[in-house]
Amino acid sequence: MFKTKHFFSGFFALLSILILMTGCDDRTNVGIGLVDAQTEESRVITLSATSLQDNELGDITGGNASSGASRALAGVVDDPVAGHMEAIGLLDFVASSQFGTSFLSQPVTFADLTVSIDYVYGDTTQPVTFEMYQVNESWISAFTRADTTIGTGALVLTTTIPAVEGDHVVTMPAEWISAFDGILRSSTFTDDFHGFALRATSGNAILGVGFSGTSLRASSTPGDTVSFSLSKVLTTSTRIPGSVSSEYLLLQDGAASGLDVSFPFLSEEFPEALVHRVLVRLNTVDLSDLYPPGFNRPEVSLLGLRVVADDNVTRLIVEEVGIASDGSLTFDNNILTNVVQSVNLDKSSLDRFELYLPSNQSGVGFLAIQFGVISSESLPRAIVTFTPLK
Amino acid sequence: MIHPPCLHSNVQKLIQRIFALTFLVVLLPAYILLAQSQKDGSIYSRFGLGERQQFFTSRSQAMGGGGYALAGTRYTNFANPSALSNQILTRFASGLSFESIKVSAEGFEQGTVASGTLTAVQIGFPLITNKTGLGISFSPYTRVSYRVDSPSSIISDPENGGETPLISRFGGSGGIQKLSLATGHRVSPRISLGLSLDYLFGIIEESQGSSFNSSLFVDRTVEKTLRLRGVTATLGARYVLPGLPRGKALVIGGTISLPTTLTGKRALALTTTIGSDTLATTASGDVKLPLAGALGVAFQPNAKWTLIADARYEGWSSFESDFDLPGYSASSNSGLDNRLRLSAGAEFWPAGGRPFANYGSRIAYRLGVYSDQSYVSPDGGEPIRSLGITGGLSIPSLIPGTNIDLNIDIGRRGTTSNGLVRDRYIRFNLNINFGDRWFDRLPLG
Repeated sequence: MFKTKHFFSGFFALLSILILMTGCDDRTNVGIGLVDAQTEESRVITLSATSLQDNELGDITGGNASSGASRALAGVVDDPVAGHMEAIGLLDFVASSQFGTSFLSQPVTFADLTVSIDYVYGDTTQPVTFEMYQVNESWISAFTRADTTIGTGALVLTTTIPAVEGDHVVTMPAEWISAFDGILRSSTFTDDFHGFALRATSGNAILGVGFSGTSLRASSTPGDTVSFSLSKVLTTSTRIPGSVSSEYLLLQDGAASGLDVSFPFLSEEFPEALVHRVLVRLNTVDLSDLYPPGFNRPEVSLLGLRVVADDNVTRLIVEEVGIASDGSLTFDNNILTNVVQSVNLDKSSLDRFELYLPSNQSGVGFLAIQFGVISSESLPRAIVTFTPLK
Repeated sequence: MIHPPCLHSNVQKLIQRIFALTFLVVLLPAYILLAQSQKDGSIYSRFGLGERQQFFTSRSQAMGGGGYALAGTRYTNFANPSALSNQILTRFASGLSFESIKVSAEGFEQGTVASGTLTAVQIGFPLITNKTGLGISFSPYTRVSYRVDSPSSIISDPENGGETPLISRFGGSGGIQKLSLATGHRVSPRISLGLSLDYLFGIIEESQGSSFNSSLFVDRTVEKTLRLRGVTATLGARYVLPGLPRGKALVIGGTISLPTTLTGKRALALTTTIGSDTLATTASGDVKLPLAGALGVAFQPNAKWTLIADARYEGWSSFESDFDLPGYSASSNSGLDNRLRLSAGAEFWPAGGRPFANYGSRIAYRLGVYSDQSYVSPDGGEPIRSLGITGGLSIPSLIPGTNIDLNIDIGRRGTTSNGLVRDRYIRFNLNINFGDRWFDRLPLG
């Protein structure tokens, strides 16, 4: 028995030693020539966009103090490049302080509206005249788009506002105060009051009314004043495009348009592959020379790229990026890479990519994106690092 | 104190059986683990269904790898199922193989790889002593085991320049295993016939990926997994030629392995380093294995010497597969060649069957040579040939009927021309071969 034990112990020890001896002292390149002959190396390909076009999708222009659009836009402008654009801004308010007993017991005798202009697009040399209408129907701001139609009621007042940033105070007419006295002092003000709509009748600028500083104030007796702060905004817009360029397409903020862009991710030159990195790059055109002096044009600073599924509803934000000093924009992240990988292996419900201007910019500026016959290098393009599968 | 004379031997037998079962329990899972994890074999194992493997007994392994006419009571020979008729003891055999390969391409050494694997697990026992026997064998049929890293660099943003280093990684593991249930029967003093039912099954994994070591890139690996299974049969016969003087023997043996169709399923999975981005597709299909035949001759001029010569032919040119394989195109149904393996060997056993000869005389010495033309080549026009010499010592243990065999196999495979590589390999094999009486009836009373 003793001998048997030693025999098996020795055998197992030998087995263990041999197993431990396995491995490799240098496996780099061992036999690589035979693998290389049957596989393909990683490489980089530039795929120019096959289409870039308006998608008729309205920009999200509704917002409140915490999300969405940060201002309401109102005005009219004839842009040398973008064409004619008219914006109607809707403002709604909410009581921002507790009503005192004296305010509730006495009729409102005075009211004014302070609009805080924090954005000016257009001719700053002449003021803009607005008509302010009562809004009689309830409306929501969250995810509401620029092509929404909201009905308006009676004209409340007409006012002229200089096309510069700053506060502008409008005294509310006595007829309006009389008509809304009960609502202003009601505990259901938020439900019963639906705000104002600002529509320009003259001028050549679109002004932005921001949350900060904009309020409606009402006084029942001197010294007892209640403030109603701006609670939500919406911009509805109409646009008559300017002359069509063969070199670029416009992506205009605050308007009813986005841009769809497609790339040939399933093609002969880009076969089934392991996709390691995807850059989507596009160039913008500087058109500042086309504008006269005194025409203020705040720059669009961010551009977003998102994926649109074939149900035309589901959207996945890929990335929002800033414009480089040379006017180019480059989307470059793993979400993009993974989306393209899925498309390449025909495992995706992707229909197209969509370029959009993030709603929190809340302007009417635009980006002129190169697309045309200039050169393939100036087209929107996807630069893909991949390893073909074989 | 007087012990019953049989007690010690019964305890010893019990221990032997426990260890034999331990081998089955421990080595079989270990084999499967090794087969699936080791990727440091020959790059030639990438092609086709992998590198063909054949292990019949540690005795024939040291004599060139054939042994179709070989038989004897010391080993259970699975080369030819008819050889299972020659069994007196219940035998269990298993072993480990360690392989080191030095790879060279035209003009330079590429490196050295080494791997280990278990060669087989076998058990055989007589149904009728020295007349009818049964055996079960688990052994690799093909083996895939390679791993290659290729460093390079790439300019991923041609507009802004800047090179990014990358490593392309290729690997393969697994293979097809063969589980055989074989029986042999001596129909006359000169003729033995045998049949083996062989269940072929296994998983072949290939992976290809790129690693960038940069957060700007997604490292991806595609893993192709091919699962195959099917059944085939091998018929075998041995014939002892008459007319030789007493003490001499000349035996001819042959086998035919029937063609068969393996059903398969290939899955493709894509994995990344950043989480659950895994896509998978599967495809089903068939793989048709060809007819194979083997012929061998064994000559014993006396009890001390045994000489063998063998040839094995496999008609891989008729191979068909619904799946593309490295070196084989499913669409054109081309790429494989017929395999021909020739071998010869000799054994010198000084004891010559005398059980009470001194220890040194009971050590058997073996030598062999072989040539093997592979069924698959990376370059269709350049067949891959292996040429090797084998040798071994069979060392009797202190347990009667049990020996340890130490074998060595030195050879080379392939050529450095036409962009191919030459493997110079050395294999050490450690095999253990138990023999015991297991199914004896105890006398009543």
